[in-house]
Amino acid sequence: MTGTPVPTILTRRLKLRGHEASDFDTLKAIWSDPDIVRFIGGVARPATQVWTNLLRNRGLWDVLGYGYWLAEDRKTGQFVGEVGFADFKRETEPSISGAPECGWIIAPSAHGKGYASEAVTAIHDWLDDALSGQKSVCIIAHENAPSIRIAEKVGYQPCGEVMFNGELTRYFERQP
Amino acid sequence: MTNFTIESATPVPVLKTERLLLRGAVASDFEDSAAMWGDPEVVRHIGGQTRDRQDAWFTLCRMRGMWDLVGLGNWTVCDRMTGEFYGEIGLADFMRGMTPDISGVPEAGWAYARHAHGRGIATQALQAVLDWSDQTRKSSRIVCIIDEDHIASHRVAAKCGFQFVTNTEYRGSPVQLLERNMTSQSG
Repeated sequence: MTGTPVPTILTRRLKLRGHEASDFDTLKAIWSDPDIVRFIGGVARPATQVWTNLLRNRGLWDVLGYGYWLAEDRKTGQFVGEVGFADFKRETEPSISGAPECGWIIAPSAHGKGYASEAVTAIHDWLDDALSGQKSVCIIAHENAPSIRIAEKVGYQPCGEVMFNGELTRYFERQP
Repeated sequence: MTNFTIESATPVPVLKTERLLLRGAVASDFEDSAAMWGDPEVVRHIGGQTRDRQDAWFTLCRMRGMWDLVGLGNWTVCDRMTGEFYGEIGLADFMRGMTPDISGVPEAGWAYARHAHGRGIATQALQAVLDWSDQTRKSSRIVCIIDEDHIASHRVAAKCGFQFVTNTEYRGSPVQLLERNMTSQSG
């Protein structure tokens, strides 16, 4: 049974590529950084969880035909972040499962340079090209204003709120 | 200007036995897999806690990704004739961080839906996986960890040549580490 290959995307400054086992050490360091996890879970991730997330990010491609990319600096190869689409089968009310849910996380060292916007734009170009006509969604915490700006820039429209982990979170949809 | 190129992915080998088909997991296995992991009888000796639907989904996705990154992973075990879902089996590296450290050694693991218990399915599937490993990977050593009290799984492991190594614990529960060496299987 053939797996789904991960498309490599080159933007002006970034290379977006599929995760490899050799990314494990880098990601362990990243997910221990309080500045990174502040808005996402709030606590550092144990190594085993970083490993299983790494495997999952890659496996999404095989199972769904879309998934997560690792973003790195095109010139230096330095880690910039993770970005992609997933169906996380989250227990939200109402359910948002079924459509690709966009998410991204950028290393603190790469903040303020427009990398998130560049990566998020590129993966929506890919989505419109590879899965043409596909709606996508995202959820963003109310206080995460920078991410809301990026979502709106690539065409996400506010569609109310969903209950996620006991909190009302903003919900967005993007029509192709 | 955005530029796309495609990398290759690792295919999951298809294994066949007299009664079983072992193949890579697909999205449509999810409901069967989630029902299995949500059954207290199934997990009684596999961690003890049922897994919720998201947990079952993440397991399915990550075990598929394991093939791409490690060259090992899970198979969905189904009936060769009808396609009925029986369970999951695989060889993995979970980076468990347990003592003794088994990171880097292929670890066999399996789980079966209740309707597949007591029918010789687990032994047949494990033997197929070990045969595949012996023929293609030549890993001299394969390990597994099994709850002390999980009699059915210990019987399956013993039939396929696994031997007791040591008592240890994982996430606070007593487990036994077993291993199988290919050299002791040949001849």
